[in-house]
Amino acid sequence: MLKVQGVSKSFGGLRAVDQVSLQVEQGQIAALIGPNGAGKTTLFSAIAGFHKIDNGGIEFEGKPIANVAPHKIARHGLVRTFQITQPFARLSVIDNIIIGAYQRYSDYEHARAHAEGVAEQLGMTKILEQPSVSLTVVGRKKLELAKALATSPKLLLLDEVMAGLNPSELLETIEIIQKINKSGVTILLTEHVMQAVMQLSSYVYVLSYGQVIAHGAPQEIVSNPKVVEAYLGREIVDA
Amino acid sequence: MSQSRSGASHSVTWKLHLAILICALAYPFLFTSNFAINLGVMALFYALIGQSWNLSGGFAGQLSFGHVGFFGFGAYASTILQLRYGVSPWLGLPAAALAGAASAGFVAILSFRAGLKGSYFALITLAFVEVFKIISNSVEFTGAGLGLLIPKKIGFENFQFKDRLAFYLIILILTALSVATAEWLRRSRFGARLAAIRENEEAAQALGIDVFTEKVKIMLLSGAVCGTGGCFFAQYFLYIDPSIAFGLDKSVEMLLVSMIGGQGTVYGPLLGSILLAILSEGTRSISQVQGLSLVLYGGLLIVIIAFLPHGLIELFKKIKPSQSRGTDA
Repeated sequence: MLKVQGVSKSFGGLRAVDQVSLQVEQGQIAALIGPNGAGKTTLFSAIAGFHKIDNGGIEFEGKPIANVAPHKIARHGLVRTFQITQPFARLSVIDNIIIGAYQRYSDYEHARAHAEGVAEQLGMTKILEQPSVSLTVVGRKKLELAKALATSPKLLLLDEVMAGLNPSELLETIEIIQKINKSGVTILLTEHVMQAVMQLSSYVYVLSYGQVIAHGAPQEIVSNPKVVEAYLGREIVDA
Repeated sequence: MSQSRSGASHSVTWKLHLAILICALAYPFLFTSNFAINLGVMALFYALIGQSWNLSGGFAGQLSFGHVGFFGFGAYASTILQLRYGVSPWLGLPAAALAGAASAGFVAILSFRAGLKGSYFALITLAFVEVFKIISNSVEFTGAGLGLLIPKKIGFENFQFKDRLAFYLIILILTALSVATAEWLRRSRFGARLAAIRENEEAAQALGIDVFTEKVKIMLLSGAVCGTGGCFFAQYFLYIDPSIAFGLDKSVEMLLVSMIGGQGTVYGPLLGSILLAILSEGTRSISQVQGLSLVLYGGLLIVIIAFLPHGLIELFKKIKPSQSRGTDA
């Protein structure tokens, strides 16, 4: 469904993403992990059209989408969320979600009904009329998810939606993501919370210093010495 | 405000619109003096051009200092058509809308293509107006620095009336249309998208909103409304010159009436302009000091920004108990 081939992106002299290739199959939940600064968010932004890439190719459902304007990519059904949540601050929660729903419906009544359905799916019915600035962390993360989901995407790019959640909120969110996936939405997510990665994803790519250093099923990944090294550093044996 | 877009309140807003329209219609028949009608005309005129600013500045968050430029294009378009080509000012009105829209589109496309936002956009619009002003000051076609004088020939076909009441009714229709446009914006998908752009452009893009196109569209609409204001102004005073048509004082007044009344709201500009009209005419009758009204207005602006950051309209909302609460999370 999504094919990233040899994508590179530099900021000045810094190669944030270096020759990355990955693939997401329809119906899958794939994860992209890696230490801070590995280039996960940059890669997400590049896929969603927010960064121009230097070289390589990106295909979504067989169509090339590299360097296409972000709103066009979103209309094709590839929608991202932001790690730093980006609510429409002075709008209420429901009005935020309706903005997403308006991609599917042109009239207010249908858009609102659709948005309310999405909110219910995410357990947000009680906070619909609240201004979005007043939300707690979990509320903001859910809203970020809800806005994207309301556009009825085919592929969701979730950028650390579980960062900063407490254990019970985490479990709830994992369940929600599984439900979204079961309803037919393919998901590619980045995450630091390994519990979530292990439970959710069927395939994992590990990014370090902009390069894919390992990929495979989650169980294989955690025992891969390269991955352990990237996260924890090398043991100083021969010193 | 876009917060209150709920289906249940539609019948309430209908009654509100009707009540305000009836008041506006009754006004010139209750207060028949020339002074009162002139006051009404000026209040509605500022409500019209204030609303045009509000469409792009309030609803879409594109703060412009250059709206007077679109006003000026409208004023010059209808006046030049009339003086040089003998076109009736009634046809000049749509022509002015077109000219206003075209100039706004020109400014918008150039600035948004270059990615100018916020204060950069505000500054570039200011620069455009200066350019327009200098050009109109030096070109014979626009009457240069002397300006253009429309000869007084009272008659319906010339858009000139003996009785100011006719002007009042015309500006009332124009302003009512601009309010209707704002009301439509508040309820429509287009308006919701503009609100999204105002709040967060990147997030709007991520949800599939074509930010550039939507911003250009609202500037075209805003420019058209502003252009009709220009045509009306020229017909009412029968004279324009570069410092009237492209004078920054009008830009500031458009912005002020929206901000004081409540930007991004349907009735904010009208509320602000009524206050401005009363203040300016009122202070003029008390004292001969030029611009005293603006001093008062400036002071008022400070008070309002401090205590009613969303504008005077908040006072009315506070009376209504139906507003959603829940900021305590």
